[in-house]
Amino acid sequence: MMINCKEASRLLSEGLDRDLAPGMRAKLRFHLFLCTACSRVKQQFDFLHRAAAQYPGPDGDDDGPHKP
Amino acid sequence: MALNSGEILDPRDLDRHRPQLLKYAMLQLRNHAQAEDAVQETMVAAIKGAQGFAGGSSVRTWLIGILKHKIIDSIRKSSREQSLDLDRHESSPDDMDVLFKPDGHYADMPADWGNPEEALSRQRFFEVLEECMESLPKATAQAFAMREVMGLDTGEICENLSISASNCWVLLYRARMRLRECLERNWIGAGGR
Ligand SMILES: [Zn+2]
Repeated sequence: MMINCKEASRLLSEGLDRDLAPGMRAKLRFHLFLCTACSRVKQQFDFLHRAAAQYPGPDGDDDGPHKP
Repeated sequence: MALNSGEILDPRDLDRHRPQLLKYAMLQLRNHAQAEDAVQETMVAAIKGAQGFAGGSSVRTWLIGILKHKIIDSIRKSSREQSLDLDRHESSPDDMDVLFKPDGHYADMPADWGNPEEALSRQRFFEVLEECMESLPKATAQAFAMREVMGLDTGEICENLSISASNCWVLLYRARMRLRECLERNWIGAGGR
């Protein structure tokens, strides 16, 4: 059975928070292989993960390492 | 100014971080009195433990590290006092339906963000991210902040919010979908990158 983008996006998110069952993981991987939209969403969720971990961002006028 | 380990932290030096800390706490607690308390406790702990400050990281990073624990304590305490009444809208993923066509395709094709990493060195990007997080419903924002900002696992988050694991996954799904949409509109689409 194929999954659609709505289901795939939900699995993409849940996969970041728990281990998906192997069958689900395979369905998701197959969907991502075929679907540009969900591949983008996957990259964006991953980026969001990195960005949120760095919130509130560069240290401005503080004494941390200065950005150019 | 650079603070090296061994130097004494000046309380005035801590105080200038207060507005940023308060914003950080508000984002997650959504309650002014609770946020003020968490920041105050952070300041007290910082002054008491000033010798624990290792010069390597910035004062702000160190303070945020302390604040995270105070925020979690606060969320835990308030959810114990009154279990978060997760309204039906927040516990069900039905509001995500508008993002999709009836056949399950995206209503709007997600954009290609290119290489967004560069945004992580820009203060303005984090302001947009903050506005996007502020626009989320309360429990959704709290779950996301605990998961992705503070890096807790979902077990701890469910416990802190007194909700089921499946509710927790719904909150995080909503948060990610709304945030990707919000960033796409207000950062990528606004030519931020
Ligand atoms: Zn798809």
